[in-house]
Amino acid sequence: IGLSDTAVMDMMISNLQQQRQVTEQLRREAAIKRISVSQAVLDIMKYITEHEQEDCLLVGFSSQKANPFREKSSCTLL
Amino acid sequence: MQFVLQQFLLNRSNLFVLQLLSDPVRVEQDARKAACDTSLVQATSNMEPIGRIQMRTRRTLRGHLAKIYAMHWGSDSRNLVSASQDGKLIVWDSYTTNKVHAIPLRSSWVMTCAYAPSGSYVACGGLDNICSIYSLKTREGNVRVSRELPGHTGYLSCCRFLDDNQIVTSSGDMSCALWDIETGQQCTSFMGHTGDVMSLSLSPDMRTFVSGACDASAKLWDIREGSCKQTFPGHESDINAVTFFPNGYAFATGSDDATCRLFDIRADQELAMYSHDNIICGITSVAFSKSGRLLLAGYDDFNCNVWDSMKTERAGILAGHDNRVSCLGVTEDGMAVATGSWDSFLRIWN
Repeated sequence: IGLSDTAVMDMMISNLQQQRQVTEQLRREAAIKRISVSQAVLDIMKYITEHEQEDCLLVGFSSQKANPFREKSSCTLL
Repeated sequence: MQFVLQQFLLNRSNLFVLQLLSDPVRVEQDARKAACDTSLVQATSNMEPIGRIQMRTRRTLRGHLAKIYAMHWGSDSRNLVSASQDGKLIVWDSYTTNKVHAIPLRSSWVMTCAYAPSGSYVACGGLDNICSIYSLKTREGNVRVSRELPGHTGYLSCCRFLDDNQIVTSSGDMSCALWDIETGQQCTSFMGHTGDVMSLSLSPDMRTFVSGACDASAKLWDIREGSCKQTFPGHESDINAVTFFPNGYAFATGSDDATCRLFDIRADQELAMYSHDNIICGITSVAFSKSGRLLLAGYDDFNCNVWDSMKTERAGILAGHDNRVSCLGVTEDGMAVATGSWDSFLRIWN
């Protein structure tokens, strides 16, 4: 490469600093507290069960009158 | 310094650094495995199946003259904004199909749009690298640019309002940013991705957001701290879309690897994959239904698949577009889903 002494030193220091930051971030992410997959899925299932009756795309509409996107009739109250 | 000596010193520092790096990666992999005591499909085996989901197009929104790239519902579940490379943002009344506003853009290379929760503003951006904010409720009654937010050094792929004065953006420059709209300044920069960031989704409590990028990973960010809390590997190609599960503890992604995946934040890992041998094209957009039981995904093959998020089976299909489905969204009240396509139309389904 033929760089000067100082240029090579700068590259090494900057490389190390960057790598240290990446390592510190990896360490932070590795250190978090995790819950078990079974607990996570239980909470998801609970949420779904509690809200499925209000999920129109899932259970549909009780009557088409409740569907704001039903086929338009001649008069609509806006 | 002699060339050989230069190389020797550089190699030594790299080796040292590699040793430092390998430990936390292994620690994380082991910790994730330890938390993995079951699979989603096993854990949900007692859940009632949902049967076939059949939806019909209830409205077709016609008016754009070119490919639609993005859409976003207003919080009233009635108005929505769409962006097209015909250089227009259109705000629609989806109940009547009327165009409430047709906003000409300074740059036609738009890739994203967003509706502020208050309904007073919309935002858009794209290859101009700028997030432009438009005020819909000016005293004069016309729509005009109220702020331009330059600063990204790459295209704007996604933007979402926290409120009328704060917006989060994601960019092809591999970063995300939080902006103060009043001052036009970036308050916080979110760095860490090693590829273009393609999509972001705000958590229901607005304290965090998830981003998906071309480095095949999704990242969870703390908005106030500006830090990356967690990284989720797993996908094998660019992630194009992310969306939070309604309880805020999980999120789904869609990727060019032809799969959607569900990740849990507290378990810090992938829970499920939604794929089929017949599906070989990329996913452009994802959204959950109100309860989270349905995961809707838009594909390059012109369709939108409806997945049972718990059984990881396909429950339905929305077919009707004549070109790629580029964007989709479910209303806040959960009553309808809108799809936008390169065929220049938007369809409202339920």
